[in-house]
Amino acid sequence: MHTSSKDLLAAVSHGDDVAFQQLYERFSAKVYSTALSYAQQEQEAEEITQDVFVNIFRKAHQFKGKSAVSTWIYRITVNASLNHIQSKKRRFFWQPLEQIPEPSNFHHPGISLENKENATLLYAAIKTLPDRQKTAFILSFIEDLPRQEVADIMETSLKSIEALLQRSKKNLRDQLKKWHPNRGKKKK
Amino acid sequence: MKEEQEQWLEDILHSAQGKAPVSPNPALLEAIQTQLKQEPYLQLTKSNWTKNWIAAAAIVLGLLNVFAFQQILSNNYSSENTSAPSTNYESLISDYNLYE
Repeated sequence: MHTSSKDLLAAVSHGDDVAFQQLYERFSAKVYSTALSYAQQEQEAEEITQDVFVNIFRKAHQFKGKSAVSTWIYRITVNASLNHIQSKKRRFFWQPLEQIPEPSNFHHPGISLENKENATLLYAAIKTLPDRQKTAFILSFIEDLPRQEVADIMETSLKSIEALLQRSKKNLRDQLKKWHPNRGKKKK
Repeated sequence: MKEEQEQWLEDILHSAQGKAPVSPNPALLEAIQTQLKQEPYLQLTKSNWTKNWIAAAAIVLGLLNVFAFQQILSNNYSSENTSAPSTNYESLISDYNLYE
């Protein structure tokens, strides 16, 4: 029998372990994939996924049903991912330079071999975006969510999502050109 | 030349689209369940206790207010009763003003 996500969440709010497992099976891949786009490291993405599901369990009773369950879960995921990045930045602020790990070339496990090189550049450039542009871009172009759902997750209008996407694309292009000024140009 | 650079940038911007779905380590669910069993129940119990105490205190305060209000009303009523015969006293006193 197919149970709706809202019913599952209602059962989770009463401490139902089986409902929690079903909700996990339904959303863990989406949560993990989104977290991976932010953290760009598999172990950190798993830590974020763990935080998200612990929060879902704790806050299930606060879900008012005003949005879709997936929207609510994506919102928790985005917040957890941004918080994770922030706390990581704060941690490294106090460490001597030689202890700070070098930014690794992230290879997303789901990306085909032919796109691997380009995607690595893309993920590196995404890291340089401001938070709201980063979120709009990840949800729209990496997670392939409809624009309206992205607007709902970010609690803003469709128009401002379009504006954020335009700015994020421009910033990504500028960053890529700065890193590789001669790429894509024919050699004479 | 510019067109080729544009194409290169477009290829990069769309390079993550259509990626295969990825899943976390299968052991992650167990780790989450273990974490949930270890601590949040205590916090939930604690917060329920707090809520119960706040509710009990609110009920006691409400009852005290009702009691106090009733006391005030009954005092007013009794003071009205005692002030009523004062006109009789005045007339009684005036009746004894023999030298007016």
